[in-house]
Amino acid sequence: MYESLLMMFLAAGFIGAAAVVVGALLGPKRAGPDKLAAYESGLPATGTARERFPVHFYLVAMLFILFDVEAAFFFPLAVKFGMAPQFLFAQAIIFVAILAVGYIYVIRKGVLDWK
Amino acid sequence: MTLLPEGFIVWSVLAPALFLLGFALLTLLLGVFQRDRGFVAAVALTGIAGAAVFALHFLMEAQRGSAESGFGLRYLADAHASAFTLVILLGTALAVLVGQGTLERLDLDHPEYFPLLLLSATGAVVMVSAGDLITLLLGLEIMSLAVYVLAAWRSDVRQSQEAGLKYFLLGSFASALFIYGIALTYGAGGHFDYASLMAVFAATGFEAHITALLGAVLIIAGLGFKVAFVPFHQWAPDVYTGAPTPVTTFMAVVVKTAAFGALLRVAATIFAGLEAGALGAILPGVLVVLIGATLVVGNLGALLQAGVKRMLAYSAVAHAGYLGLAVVAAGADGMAAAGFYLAAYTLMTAGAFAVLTQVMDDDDRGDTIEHFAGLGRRRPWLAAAMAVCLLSLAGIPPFAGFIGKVLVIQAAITAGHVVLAVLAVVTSVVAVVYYARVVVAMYFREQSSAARLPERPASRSVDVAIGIAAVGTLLLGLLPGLWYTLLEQGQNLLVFVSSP
Amino acid sequence: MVATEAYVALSGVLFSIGAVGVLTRRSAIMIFLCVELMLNAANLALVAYAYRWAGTGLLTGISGQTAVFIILAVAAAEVAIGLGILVAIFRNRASTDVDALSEVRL
Repeated sequence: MYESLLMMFLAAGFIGAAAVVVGALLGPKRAGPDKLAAYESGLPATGTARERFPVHFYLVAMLFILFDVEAAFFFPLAVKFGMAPQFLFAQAIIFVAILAVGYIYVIRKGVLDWK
Repeated sequence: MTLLPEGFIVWSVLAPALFLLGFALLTLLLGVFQRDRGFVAAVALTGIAGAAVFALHFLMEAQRGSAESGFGLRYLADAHASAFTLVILLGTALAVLVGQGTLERLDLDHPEYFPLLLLSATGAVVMVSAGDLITLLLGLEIMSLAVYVLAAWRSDVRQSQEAGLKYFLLGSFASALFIYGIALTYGAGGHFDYASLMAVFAATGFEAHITALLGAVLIIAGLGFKVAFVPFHQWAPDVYTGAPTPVTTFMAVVVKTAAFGALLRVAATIFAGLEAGALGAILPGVLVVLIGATLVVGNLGALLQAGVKRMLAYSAVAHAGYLGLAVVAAGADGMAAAGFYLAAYTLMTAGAFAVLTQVMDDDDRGDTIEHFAGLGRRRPWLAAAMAVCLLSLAGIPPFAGFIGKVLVIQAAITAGHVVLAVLAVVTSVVAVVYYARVVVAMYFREQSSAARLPERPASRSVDVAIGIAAVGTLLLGLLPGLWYTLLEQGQNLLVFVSSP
Repeated sequence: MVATEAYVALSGVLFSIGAVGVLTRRSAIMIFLCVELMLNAANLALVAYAYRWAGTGLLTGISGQTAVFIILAVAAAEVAIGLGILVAIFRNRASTDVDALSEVRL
């Protein structure tokens, strides 16, 4: 029953290992300071990675998580939507309205003004 | 094609909770658009009054024997639920009044206080009305999350920060225990609603005793944390002391009422069902040990405290023990006794904390007994109100606390827990000592020069709260029937009746 | 076919790891992570039990799964508030070690 899964894991492991091994065997090796530096999407790497970020990032990330998780409640709603469309639509509107109050609060508090 | 059976959804039973929720959202919006805090407080009180009207309606329906419920007995509006809702609303209203009068002084002049209180009260109402473990969990979380924020509110003061963090970490740990308890209970019984679980557990041929018992113990641990049963009480003194005093008022009365309301219902249904089966003797044993320890530790702890705020915190633990007597006697008697006790407890505790806000310094410190010395001469009314609340907390007649104690002890004896009843009587004698200390200081000692009463105009809204609390304590003590008959004669749904 | 008991046993192990972590760890963040572990252990148990009850034809087999949704949302709300409190404290003292919280006596 699980053979196909096993095959997939084996294939994935093989391809991953092969890419590393073949690259190491066949690739040219010319080490230099630029080559050895950590890859930073083309930008020069400066400073420590353990820098403290403005708390603003954290706030926005937190808001994202909250609104994101609330969206999960729409999945069961969508599955059963056909059974009572008007009723469930009304429920969804009420749910969103409650979230909207929180959203208005967040905007008025200036959390989303990025300065 | 319909989603659910006809008549399954009864929106009206949600009225008190929805009304509070609506006003919580309204005050949240008002708070950001309107700077006048007094106006927001008035709107919050309107919301509480509106919810109380609905709760009163359901209480009257329950008197006529037509208690209402919705969602297939998953949300109840019977005598227990509506009476506890009324007590919660009373506690919330007192906290709103105390907050309105003291927040500015504490440098906490933020309108968010009111929506957070109302949201928390919404959760509390859902908890006492729940007829289903998931509904209970939702109520518990809605209530707790708002209180975590309130406890940590003075983020520039170390004590408040620590109170908030401690309360949050231990609170979420307790929630996790509670949630795992729900999972195990579901695993054993296959349902979440109390009625079905009660039936499954009590049925002959039920086998998953150990899973069910573990689940019940974890549920007791989770709710025991909220009501501060020993050994889950360690957060209480710190958090009560560290939180801003208006918030402490709310935590001490509303959170306790809600958690006891839920615990009593769970005890009267799920636990009672379990007790009917094999291994049934273990659960009451666990409860008796917890409650006995709570009585002893709470009262001894209060005896050792120098600060009045911390003494009141330990007193709140001790009162959880007395209320625990009603839990082991769960069933109609215990529920009515606890309903009376909690109404009295809400009035006298909120009253004592409200007086405390008037005696403490501007920065919410300075609560030693010295601060109360000579209060009887300087502020006779304030001292009289404090004396009424403290003597009532000590259980001295003719105040409400005395009647409450008599009722719960009676309920425990009827249920056969004589040892606990004796322990309760003995510990309440000890309790008289630490409450009387403050009263003696107020009337028989001269004001010391070190601890002076702060000079500031009295706040009218706090005075109103103190007045309501003191008069209510006296009234419930002299005419207990006014409230108790409503509790005793009202119809309760889902109360376990063991089958012959 | 893996038995329900195996899933529940795994969830019990996860739950215990979380509980031990809460009681022994010192960093508030780690304590909080352990609480999350306990919540997810409960979710695993709920899903396993829901599968079994659904297998016996019980209608409430589905409610175990819906409970997981609610617990996920609860956990997210707890994270938001808990980290908020932590950030407020970190701003004032630059440490999240709970042993440093000794201002209030026990």
